[in-house]
Amino acid sequence: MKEKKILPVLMATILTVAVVGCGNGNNTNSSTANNSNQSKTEASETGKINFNEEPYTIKMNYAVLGQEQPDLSKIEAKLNEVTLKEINAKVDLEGVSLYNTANVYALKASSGEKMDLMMLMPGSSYLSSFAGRKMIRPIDKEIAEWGPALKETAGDLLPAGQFKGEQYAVPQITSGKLTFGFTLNKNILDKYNIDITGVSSLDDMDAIFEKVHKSEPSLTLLAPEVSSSDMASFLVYFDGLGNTYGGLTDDSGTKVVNLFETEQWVNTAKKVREWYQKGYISKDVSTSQDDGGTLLDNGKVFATASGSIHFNGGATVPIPKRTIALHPPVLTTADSQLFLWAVSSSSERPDKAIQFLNLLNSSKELSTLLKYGIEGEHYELNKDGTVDTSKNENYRNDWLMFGNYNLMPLDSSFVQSSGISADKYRAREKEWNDKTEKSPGYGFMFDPTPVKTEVAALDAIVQQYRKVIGNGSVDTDELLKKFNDSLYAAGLQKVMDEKQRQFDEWLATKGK
Amino acid sequence: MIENKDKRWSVAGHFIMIILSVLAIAPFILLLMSSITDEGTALQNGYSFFPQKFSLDAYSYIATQWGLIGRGYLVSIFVTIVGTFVGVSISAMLAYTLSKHDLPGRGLLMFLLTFTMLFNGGLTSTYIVYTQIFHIKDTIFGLLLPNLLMNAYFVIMFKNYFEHTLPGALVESARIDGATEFKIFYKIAVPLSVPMFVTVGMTSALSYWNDWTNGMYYLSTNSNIQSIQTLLNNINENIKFLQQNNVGTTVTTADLPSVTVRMAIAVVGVLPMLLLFPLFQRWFVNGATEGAVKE
Repeated sequence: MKEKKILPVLMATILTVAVVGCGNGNNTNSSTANNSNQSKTEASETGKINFNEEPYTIKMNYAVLGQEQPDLSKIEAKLNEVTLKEINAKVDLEGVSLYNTANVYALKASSGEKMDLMMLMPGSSYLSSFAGRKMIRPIDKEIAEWGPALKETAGDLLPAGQFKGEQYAVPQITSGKLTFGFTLNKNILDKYNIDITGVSSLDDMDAIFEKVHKSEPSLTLLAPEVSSSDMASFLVYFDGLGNTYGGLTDDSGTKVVNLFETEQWVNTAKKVREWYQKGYISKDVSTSQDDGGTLLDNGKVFATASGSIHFNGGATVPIPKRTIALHPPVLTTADSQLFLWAVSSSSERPDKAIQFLNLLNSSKELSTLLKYGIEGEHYELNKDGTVDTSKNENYRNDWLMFGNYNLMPLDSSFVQSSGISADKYRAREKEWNDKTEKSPGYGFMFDPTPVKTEVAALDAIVQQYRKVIGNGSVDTDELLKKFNDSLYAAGLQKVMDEKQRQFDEWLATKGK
Repeated sequence: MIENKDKRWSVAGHFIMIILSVLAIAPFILLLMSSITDEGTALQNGYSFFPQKFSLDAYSYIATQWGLIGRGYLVSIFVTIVGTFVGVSISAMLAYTLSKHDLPGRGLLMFLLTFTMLFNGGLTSTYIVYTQIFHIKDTIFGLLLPNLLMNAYFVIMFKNYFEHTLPGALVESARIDGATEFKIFYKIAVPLSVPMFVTVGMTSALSYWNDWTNGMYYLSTNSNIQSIQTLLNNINENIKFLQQNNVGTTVTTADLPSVTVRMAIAVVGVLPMLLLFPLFQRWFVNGATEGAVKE
């Protein structure tokens, strides 16, 4: 009887031990590695890097689309050679899948996993919530001490990384600001001898559309560049200061107004409706999942209402295109917040993180390395100074998220598709950037926390109405009134008042 | 008269079941058809059961990407086989032990089992334990251990089966013949419970095969042991994110696979399970009800 009892107990204990043991097997190596970095020595002298301490490893997280980078370790090795010499630190790169960045960062922060630098993309969605939850830390002091080059290169962008008056993030220096207008299929323009010089308003488009429609009645003429947006929203200038509810238009000065009541938006929506009724726009435009940009490239539409108008006037690949800009480029806070580099609250050495950003932004070598890889292995340098990455499979990143765009060479595929020489490209880009103005609200970020519930209600209403009205697929007059009424019923005025209050406060401190 | 009514019943029954089956199968057929549709046609006309133009481009794209997808496939297969084998073994042995009523501390073990089945510590604490105590991050254990390895529900199913379906006399006679407890387990209990093993094994294999959350949390994006479902989910979610968030037109979706390729990867992803399931189905139906009824 006794014997009978022992065996089952033994079996149970063996099982428990086995389960625990399974996990324990590979735990030795990393726990020791973690401890080695804890030798914390404060920087001794301002602006001088301490080379006597153990090199600190900076963990750098950024968004990727998920492809594996087989050569990432090579890039890291090369990077560390420089950083060890310059700032006595190593950098550990880790990509996080774009859609999941918010979850992964939160998980890492709450579990105390090592994290120093993290890229927020789009920063406008995350900055206020991360800063509000104290996941990221203010870095004014560190920038003042360790970021002289940052102030020089990204100085005028820095306000976009502020939240409630404190610097929380460093905006990435990226290519020029885009504006909105139309992108048109050049082959069709040529075929019907249409001249688009001087076209600068929606009414000017009527003649063009009419001409093409007459000759090719079955062709869809216009689609929104991305299916998640609507055409009217593409074709109106509006700085929402953080969200859609109340913002600045061209002539509102510093007064926050409701976009959907502005003359510009109403008129544009009516115009789009007119085009819809004339049959220029596909009937299922509001439900379609296909981006107009893709359709344009495949010859399925003649033009898109587009937010990616650039100084080059249209690309040449995959099909030749021409663009019409309806508005000069204006830089808003949200634009500069597309990529933000923030320092995690759990970082042991925020000074090292800023030192690295400072180095990266001032070094052509490192900017080029992180963007394109290693010369001869991941890219070839062309005669005109552009970079050919076409043969590279093992290291690529999807965005201009590393380093200083102005220092690194241009990607030859960009330059080639614009149809102009590299020098001309740079010159035109500079001209465009000089022309780019800043919105009066640049650097201001609305903190929606006090009106959270209202914003959630408004989101639902906008989702219901905006797309169908902006794409002209419903009667504008009738629904626009209903749309605005429901917005006010859901507390639009309260949100706008709060935004105005915060904005005025910000303007006052800025004026000082 | 009665026969007639029966007939009508069965006709109606068949009719309803046929409709339900068609509804269940249709999405799969649509998936298959869209994966062999020409990309241009899919863009212009949307998905269709009868595409105007066929093309195997999506599959040849997969073939060129075989380094990535093929490895994902191998990882999935490895994890499914090992995970299922280890998981089912642990569950069955634990259940067998617990089915002995004279086991000391049985109440406590049962309590631990059911308690953890109903409550858990949530994602954050689970993540902390796995990454900072067991350090399974970026290892194959990250795909094997969390959530899937042992399911209390399966243990209870096994336990009930052993308790109620396994003839006590058989165990008794084996013991008289001098068999050890372990020998009784694998010579008598296991062969007599094949339907149960198949049921649990199949369910467990399915959840291993379909799992992508472990890959999402416990592997970094540059890890080379991404399973096929993690890869697929990653692609789909990123495309969705880019469509929903206006991240600026500096970001192109050009690097992401096209619609038809995504469909083709999905087809490739479900294929093994689709082929395996009918083979074991016979046992499956048996096992699911077995252990449910007491004698």
